[in-house]
Amino acid sequence: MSYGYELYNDSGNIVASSNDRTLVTYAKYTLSGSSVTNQITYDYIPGAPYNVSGQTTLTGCYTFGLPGGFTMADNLFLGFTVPVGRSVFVRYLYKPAGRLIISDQPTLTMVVAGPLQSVSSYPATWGMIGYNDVGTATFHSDARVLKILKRIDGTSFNAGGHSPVFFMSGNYFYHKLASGTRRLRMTGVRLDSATTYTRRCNNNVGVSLVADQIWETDPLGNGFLASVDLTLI
Amino acid sequence: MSFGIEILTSTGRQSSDALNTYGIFYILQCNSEAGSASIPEFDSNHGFYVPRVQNSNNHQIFTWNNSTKVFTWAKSNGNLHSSDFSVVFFRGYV
Repeated sequence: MSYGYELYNDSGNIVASSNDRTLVTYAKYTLSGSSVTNQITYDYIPGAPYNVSGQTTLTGCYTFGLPGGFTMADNLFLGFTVPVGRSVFVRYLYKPAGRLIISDQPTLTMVVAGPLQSVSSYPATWGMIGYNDVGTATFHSDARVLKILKRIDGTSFNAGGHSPVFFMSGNYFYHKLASGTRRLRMTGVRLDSATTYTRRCNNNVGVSLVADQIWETDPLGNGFLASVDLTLI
Repeated sequence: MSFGIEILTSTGRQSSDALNTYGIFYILQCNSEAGSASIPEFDSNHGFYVPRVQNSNNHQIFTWNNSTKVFTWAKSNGNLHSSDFSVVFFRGYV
């Protein structure tokens, strides 16, 4: 490295580099849901048939839309947090049409994250600004850096006393209907405790599935988990 | 704090340990329904990737070979898949 900066932790690993773009939290919204039909959910177990393990019926479900005035962009990520014991599912989250957000919780907190904004967007009266080798600001001490803990892989996490926020697109779970048609289904998580969660897949009540169909793709393989101090946004 | 640096911010001191997070270091633009790309700098032991398919109901199957450093995307069924999407690669040592 001949330009910029690298910061190391006490294990000798890089914790920040001017060549990487950190994600910054821009905004949070409280979403209010509309009541919808109950849903059937399944624990995700790699390699297991989807309609056998951990099947439960979510009652008192709600569907959510994006906040009024909010415009989705290619470089933005949307995250959701729920209370312990509750679940959230998304489908087509980054598509212009067909987006679906469902929870068994009537309100959801949504966090918007994206690459660092231009330097002029921040006060810049103190602290540090980092630039990469093409002159793009990649760190600003006044920006609220999103602390990304891990990929959503089903294992426990340490949110450091802050709120765990799940960023996922939900576009990963295929199953076959009785007609043989393949459908993308909603994927999501249930927060089990302050440090654990279960990956889950969701299906409409009344849809006839093909029995013992093995997972065709890895649900939630494209999501990540972050620790967010919601009081700062 | 016994290591690294601390930065004074509008919300108090933030240490380099607190910065311990993943950052975006590469965005792969995919312009075909199926294909592959070499990303020598990526190590799946210290990072992950996030596909962002926005214009198709059909989602590719993505695989990463950490030995050959080759990323591949393949159609998951016979229907039309997106040929204009991105994959965001994160790295970090959390």
